[in-house]
Amino acid sequence: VAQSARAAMPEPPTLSLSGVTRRSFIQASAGSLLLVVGGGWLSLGCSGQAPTWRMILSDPALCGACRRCAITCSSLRAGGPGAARGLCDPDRIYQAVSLVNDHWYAATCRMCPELRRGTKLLAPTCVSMCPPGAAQIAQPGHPLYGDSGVRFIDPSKCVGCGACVSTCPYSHPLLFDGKATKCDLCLGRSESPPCVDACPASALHYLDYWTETVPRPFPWDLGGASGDSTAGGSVEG
Amino acid sequence: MSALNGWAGRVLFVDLTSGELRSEETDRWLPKRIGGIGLGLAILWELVPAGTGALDPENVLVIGVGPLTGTWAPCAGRAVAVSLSPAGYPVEHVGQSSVGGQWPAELKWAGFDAIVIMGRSPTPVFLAIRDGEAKLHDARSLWGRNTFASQQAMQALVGDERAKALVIGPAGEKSGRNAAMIHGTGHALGQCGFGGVAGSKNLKGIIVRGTGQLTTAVSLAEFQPRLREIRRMLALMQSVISADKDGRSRWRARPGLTWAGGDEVVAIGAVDPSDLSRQGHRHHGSDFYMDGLLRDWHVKNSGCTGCVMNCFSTQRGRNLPAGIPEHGESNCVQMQTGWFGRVRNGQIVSRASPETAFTAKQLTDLLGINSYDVWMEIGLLVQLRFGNEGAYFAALDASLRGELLALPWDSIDEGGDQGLRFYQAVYETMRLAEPGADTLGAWLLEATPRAANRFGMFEDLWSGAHGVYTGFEGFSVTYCAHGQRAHYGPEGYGLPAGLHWAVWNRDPNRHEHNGLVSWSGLSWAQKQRVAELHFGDPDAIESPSHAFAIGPPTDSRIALARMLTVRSMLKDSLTLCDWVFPNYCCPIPEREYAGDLALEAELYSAVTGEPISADELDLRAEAMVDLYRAITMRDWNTSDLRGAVGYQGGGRGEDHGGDYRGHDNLAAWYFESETGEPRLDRPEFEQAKTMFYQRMGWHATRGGVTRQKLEALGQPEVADGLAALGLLTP
Repeated sequence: VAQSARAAMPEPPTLSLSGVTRRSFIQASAGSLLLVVGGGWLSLGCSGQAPTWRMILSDPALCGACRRCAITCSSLRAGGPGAARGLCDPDRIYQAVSLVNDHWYAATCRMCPELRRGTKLLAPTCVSMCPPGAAQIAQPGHPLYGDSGVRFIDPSKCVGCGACVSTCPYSHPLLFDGKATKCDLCLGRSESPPCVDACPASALHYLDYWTETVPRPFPWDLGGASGDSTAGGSVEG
Repeated sequence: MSALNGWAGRVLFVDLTSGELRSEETDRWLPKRIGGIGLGLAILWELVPAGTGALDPENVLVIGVGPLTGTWAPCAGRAVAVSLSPAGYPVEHVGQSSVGGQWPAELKWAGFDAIVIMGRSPTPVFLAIRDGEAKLHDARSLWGRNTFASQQAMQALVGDERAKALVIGPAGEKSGRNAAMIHGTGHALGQCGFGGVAGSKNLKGIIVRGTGQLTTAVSLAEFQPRLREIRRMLALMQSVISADKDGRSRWRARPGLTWAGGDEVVAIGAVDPSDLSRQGHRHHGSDFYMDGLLRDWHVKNSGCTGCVMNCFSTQRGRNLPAGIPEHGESNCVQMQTGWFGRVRNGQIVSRASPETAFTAKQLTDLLGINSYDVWMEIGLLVQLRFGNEGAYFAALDASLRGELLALPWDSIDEGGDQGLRFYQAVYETMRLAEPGADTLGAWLLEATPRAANRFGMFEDLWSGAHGVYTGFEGFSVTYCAHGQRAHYGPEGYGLPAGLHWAVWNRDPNRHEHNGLVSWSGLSWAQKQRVAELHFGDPDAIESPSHAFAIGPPTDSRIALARMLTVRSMLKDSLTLCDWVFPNYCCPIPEREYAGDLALEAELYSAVTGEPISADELDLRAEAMVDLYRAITMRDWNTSDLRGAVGYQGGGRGEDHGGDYRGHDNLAAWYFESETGEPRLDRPEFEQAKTMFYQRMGWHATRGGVTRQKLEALGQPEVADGLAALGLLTP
């Protein structure tokens, strides 16, 4: 399943690193933006009042491929240290670029918005394409996920068909032992999730979906870069 | 599963002669052998008969991980290989080499703690492992291909582009004694020539994919608060003060620093020591090495699985020769393989270009060569061509002389192309070499000491006679011992480093000791205070500025020498990063910058569930030092490892007899100088060896491990084995 899913998968979209927030981007292009989702062309518009929800974004300029995020996730949410069976596998993007580390970044869930097509409101592909309705959007006051609005998979309903895996444009959901899994922001917590805290390179960002994006300039960049050299010369290590 | 947590639970045995694959429970060797190198030494001791050569089918290559690998323990993403080393000189004795990147953790997640490669396949094969299943595949289509292309081809052949491969290149295929195994675009199982061992077995590589999970005795949820405290203690090569305070510190992050080689410029600037979210931004190899020659090509830092330091430099080269991949990773000597300066009248008049340095690094990895050795070999070629006032060159056979002359020497001269064509030509001689032929390339594949022997230069490397050609900087060859070039031995790091170099089988440099003595960024008084807190004596460490004026063998210096030796074994057992553990220094002023030497034991206990103190764990590692010593005695066929005056040799290898030619010796130039420069004091060094042997419980005169010591630490079977070979001195 995974093999054919990969074949059908579109290239992950390039992250917007321009500092433009999602809200301003969507407002500026409301009603006219065309977006490839799951192989079909959809007309995207702002769905009115934006609910507050958050997502994790990975910054490829910083990710050092240490996989501490995945080990942390697997340890805390999937029974023990590993990398593949957590709720998010940063190694998934590796397939596209093979040996080249430059482009490593974690294939996090973008917590896709609902899209308006005419009068119809379309759910994210993982939700809309899920035959048994296991992939869902947490409604306000959800017993597990509160008001977080996370997109989650109910394991009791999942039949392991792989539809969410094959249609996600970000290669995010995983399928093991007949069940799909995906990130639920550690039960929709409002504080920074453990995978974000585990990153030693500030490559993961816990962001408001509508108002924030991968930060530029870098939060620690006070004065901008200028030429400088205190280099050590020829030294052995 | 193992009775201990943290383990996958199985060791895979691969008999390449018969094609048979089987596995055993890792518990057979636990907890006594800890993991990593310990598994390798125990298996080598059991399986390899005395008298075996490194490139014989009877040699085994064991590649294993430790209990911490693949867990949430920081900086444990390494695998350690153990085998008889074809690079060992004059004897092909036991050696070890480690590799990081993504491969080691993936191996454990795939269900195996170690792989034992035995025999010799009739045709080239590669080993594929996925989630507990192992299979040998035909590798004939891969033979001859470089290491990057081989990994990609293996991924395609197993239908999994996310599988991680560790492979040999053309150098390993020719059983090169300087050959490495390469993973990714720069992680190397580099030292000891194990790429040549794999090649001699017709093994092109090992590709693994693991989707499994491990257990830990203490869950991450419980350990997380403590893990944050531990991370706060860690420092890369003990660099706890940033480079704007001390230019030698590896903590490069400072105002104005950037990563400029990627699609966008990343402003790094200064990093606060308490900011764990930017721990991986502190180092910047491309800024540090070669006066920042490749600084503008630095894309970002990267690390092995589970790393928090990210010491590796991911670089993207520009304007490279055809066939040289633009992406590569490296650190340290690997990055500097192609660096030199042309000197006229005492002044550097031209230098290697960025294109040369990056191309040399890439060619080293593409061909699968140990960068440490090839760095020395290129210096050897320059010395052969120009050194000793042309005497080496004049004495060379005509065919070798013709090959040497045909190299594009103008390339490294002032007005040349800053070395690019020269390096390409040298690597091409190796790529095209016929193994065993009397050609330049074939001799380079034999690694430095054997090549130097053929070129009539080894005795001068040993004695330091005839100096070094002064027309270049960066091409000098300084030989230390056991086939290895000098690398922070007693010339810079005092008596403890000198003793460690003498008794160890390969380059034993302990980077954390470098950090403690040199790189930390602390003042000398602060370093001495750290030494006092750890060893009870501020003079346990010696200032690297006092080259060769090593201090007297005090108890604290002997204790530090034991510490270097035992903790080296522990680090390679657990398997931790040499640039981070032991934690001598930390960036916390309130602790007077003293780190915590019990972190290894704490992490081990939390992961495995076996309660153990740091001292007890050290004793377990010391038992493995004894085992290493016993295997070395078997390899050298002697109980006299001191090998001082009147040393008779052991009847194995290439060069044995003579004063101070036994195992525990450094090159003669360390003790005697033609020009009267200060050198080590031979009687004092011999006295230090005696004190060290006594501290380790070894034979005080001959330096071999004794039955009493072996039995005291629970290894009577090793004593019996040595006795059967007639190698135990009463």
